[in-house]
Amino acid sequence: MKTLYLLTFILFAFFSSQAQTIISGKVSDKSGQTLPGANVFLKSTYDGVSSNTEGLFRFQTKKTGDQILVVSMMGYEKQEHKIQLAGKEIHIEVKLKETYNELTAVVITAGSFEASEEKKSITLKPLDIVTTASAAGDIYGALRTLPGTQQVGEDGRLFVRGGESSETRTYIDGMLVQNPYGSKVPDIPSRGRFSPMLFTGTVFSTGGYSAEYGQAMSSALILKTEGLAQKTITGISLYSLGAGLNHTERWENSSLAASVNYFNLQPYFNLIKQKVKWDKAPESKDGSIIFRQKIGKNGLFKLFSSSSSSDLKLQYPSDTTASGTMPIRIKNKNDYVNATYSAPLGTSTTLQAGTAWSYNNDFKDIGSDRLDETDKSFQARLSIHHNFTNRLKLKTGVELTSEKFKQDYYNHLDSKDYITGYTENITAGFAEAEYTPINKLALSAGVRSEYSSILQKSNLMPRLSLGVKTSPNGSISLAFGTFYQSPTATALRFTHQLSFEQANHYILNYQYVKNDRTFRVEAYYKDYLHLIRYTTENIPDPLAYNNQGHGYAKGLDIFYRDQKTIKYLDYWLTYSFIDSKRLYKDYTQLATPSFISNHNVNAVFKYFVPKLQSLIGLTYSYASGRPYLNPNSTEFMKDKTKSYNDLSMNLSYITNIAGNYTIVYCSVSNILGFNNVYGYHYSTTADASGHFAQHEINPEAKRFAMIAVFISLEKKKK
Amino acid sequence: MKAITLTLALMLACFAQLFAQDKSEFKNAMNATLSEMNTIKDNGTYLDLSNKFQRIADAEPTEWIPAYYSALCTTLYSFGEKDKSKVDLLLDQAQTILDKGLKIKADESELWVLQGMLYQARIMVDPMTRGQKFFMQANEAFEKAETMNPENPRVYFLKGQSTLNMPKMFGGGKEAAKPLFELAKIKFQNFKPANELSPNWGKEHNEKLLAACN
Repeated sequence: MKTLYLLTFILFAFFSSQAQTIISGKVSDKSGQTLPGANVFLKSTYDGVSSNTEGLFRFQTKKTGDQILVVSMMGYEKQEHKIQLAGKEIHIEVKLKETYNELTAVVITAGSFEASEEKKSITLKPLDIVTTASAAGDIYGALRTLPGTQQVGEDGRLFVRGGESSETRTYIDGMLVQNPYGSKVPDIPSRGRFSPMLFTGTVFSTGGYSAEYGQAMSSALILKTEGLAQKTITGISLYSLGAGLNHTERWENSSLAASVNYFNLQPYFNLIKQKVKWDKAPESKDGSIIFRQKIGKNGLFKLFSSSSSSDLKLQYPSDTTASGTMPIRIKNKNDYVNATYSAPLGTSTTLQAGTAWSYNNDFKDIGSDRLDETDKSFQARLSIHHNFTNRLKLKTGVELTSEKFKQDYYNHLDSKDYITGYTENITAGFAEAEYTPINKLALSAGVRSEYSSILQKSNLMPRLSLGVKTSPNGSISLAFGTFYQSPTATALRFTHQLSFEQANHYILNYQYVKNDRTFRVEAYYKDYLHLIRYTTENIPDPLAYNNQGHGYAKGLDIFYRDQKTIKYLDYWLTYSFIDSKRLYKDYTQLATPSFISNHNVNAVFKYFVPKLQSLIGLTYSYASGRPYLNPNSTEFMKDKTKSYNDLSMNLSYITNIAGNYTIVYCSVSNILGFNNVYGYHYSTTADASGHFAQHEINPEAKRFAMIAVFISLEKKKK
Repeated sequence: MKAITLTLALMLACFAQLFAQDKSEFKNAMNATLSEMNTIKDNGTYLDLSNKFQRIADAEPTEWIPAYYSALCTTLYSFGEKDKSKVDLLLDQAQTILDKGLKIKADESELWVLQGMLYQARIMVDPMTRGQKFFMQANEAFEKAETMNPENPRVYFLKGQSTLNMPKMFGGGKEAAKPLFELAKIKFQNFKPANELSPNWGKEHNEKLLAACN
């Protein structure tokens, strides 16, 4: 009996024995920096405390015996320590290890301007492209306000860091786009084919880009399309130059969008006098279909298909005809289909597969010549992204690109067809590893190899980059890469005895981002090797072409953007300096090409006026004079045009018409009326005194104005 | 025999007390932390409170309420964070805890209200770009919360708040927000929390915003 009472007593004693133990210590990171706000507690109990501003913690517990002390903090790996509680104070120093975090980890920024809606630090977003005054809604127009690009008013395509426009390639969802621009008309700028609103992400790389991308010697524009459309909506677009209609239907796991547009510049040209004499103002029709299907839990199938046609005819200055002009007619047809599929394979691997098919036909009547050019291409791509850990990632892939080019040149004078053409198959493979040992350091090493069936040659391209976080907001990046590209049709249609053209990029970048202010400065050096040279343009002699050209480009790009200082004002300022020379094409000596301005300045302002519900945009661009070939001069490419100046303005007024969200948009270029000269044309024959007559190449009209109304019709929910 | 019975009874009583103590320990801890939350003076304290709620949430893997409050405190703390680059980190943390709560009780109206609030907070980082996307996600969350409990006043209060903050041309503004605050007011008057720990906030703020609409 007694023992039983004793037992009961002991039991009571056990349940009520609550000895107190003090646990104290300090939380810091591996570098010794104290960490305030860490959660320190005994596992599965309420006992614990947050570390104070000095990283110190101290709390009492009634728990006894073996316990687990947990220390957890946002951005660090959780730690568990086994401790034994016996009433004696326990002191413990905890050093936490950072977790990999894409928000805080350094991003290698050398060469690239990234624009996406993802959470990463960003410099430009899709909306910025549409609201940039000088761009007039063109992706490439907006990119021309970034450093590293050139103002080439008579061309409209992108010329990046001493590279020709053909050295900048556009990729949609990883697939190469063979003909991203509209047909090129002499002296008139072409625009991009695709609307900027199709893309949620834009990475504009002016050099040193990933081994994923090939066949681009100077620059890569990487566009990412949207996933599932957000909602069912119908849009009506009315332009001073045409009209468009689009509809998007959203279902639970899929969406379908279709759009059609029609443009005709005739009414506008009737109203505003053009310098060019148009027999038929540009007229174009286009349509597109975008389909998305979710497959399984995380798989997504994307299909993008577009089709367009255009027609125009103009009188081009010529001294070989009695009238002083020569008619040029250009009809274009373009189809593009891009289908991609991405799906996770297990938890840390993603598979991406894609195909792209494109067809482009230009039918040109130029005086007594007729050119019928067809460019067909097909691409298939398979890549696998594997994360060994959050800190070590590997991308590998294979790619097959086939391009078929055919030119039918018909001369009315001798009534003969001259047919040239070629088929180029490029097989490529790449692998690239990205390693982030600590959040302050990121390394990327990749290699790409390609084999060209037409050149019967292969290449090997190493790509290396490194990023170091030098302060919480500042980082330094370095990039090096080798880039090969097959020669263009200019040479390939006459000879295959050539090899790849090559560029090496060396880039040093510093970027500072804090609270909506971004400053970046980048210095670069580029080597150009094996550039195509020929004796005369369009010469059909295969022996007239070789790979003995070369060149260089070096320069400094500065970018500053501020979205913070003044409420509702967002502006960016850029300055680019470039020094570049080439010996290529039919150049007789190393010279600065005609698309290079040594100094480029852009100032882009966007100001939202809440009272007017309007966004006002202003872009000022300056480019120093560009070299041109003057047959009256004994020196090669030594003459320079005067500098280029432009001030463009746009206004977007946001309102609603009968309850439907509406944007009224208008834009005007060159509001100050600068007389810009892009270069000169010279007579093909000298006059009696041995002088070649010249005339200026100017914009088609001093200013270009546009008005548009975009109405979104949405089904109203009750 | 008697003694054995007595001992067994005592032992049982001990265990019962132990369990009772557990439940009351949960209630006491929650109540203490909640009263700290209700008398908060400095926005910085929200992070400490979030930690406290998280400790309780970790120790009570079947209770959604501490997870709810931990996520709520982190979200409230993020409103005061001036460094925009840190806001997303904080909201990621809040989302992680909220997800734990949703795992415990996926059909809890209050958790979905908080989910909507979290999306609203994401907008603040970059209203121009994120506005549309997160506004829609927030509304979807509020709609879920409404179907789960149409009597939850916070659904209408937060919907009203986001409508008020939205520019007039997108269908926002005072006139559009007012009926939502009025509806919330009625729901607040009739609202009875399930128990003393259940969410029961927003009434005063709703009154203030309703007054601002007039």
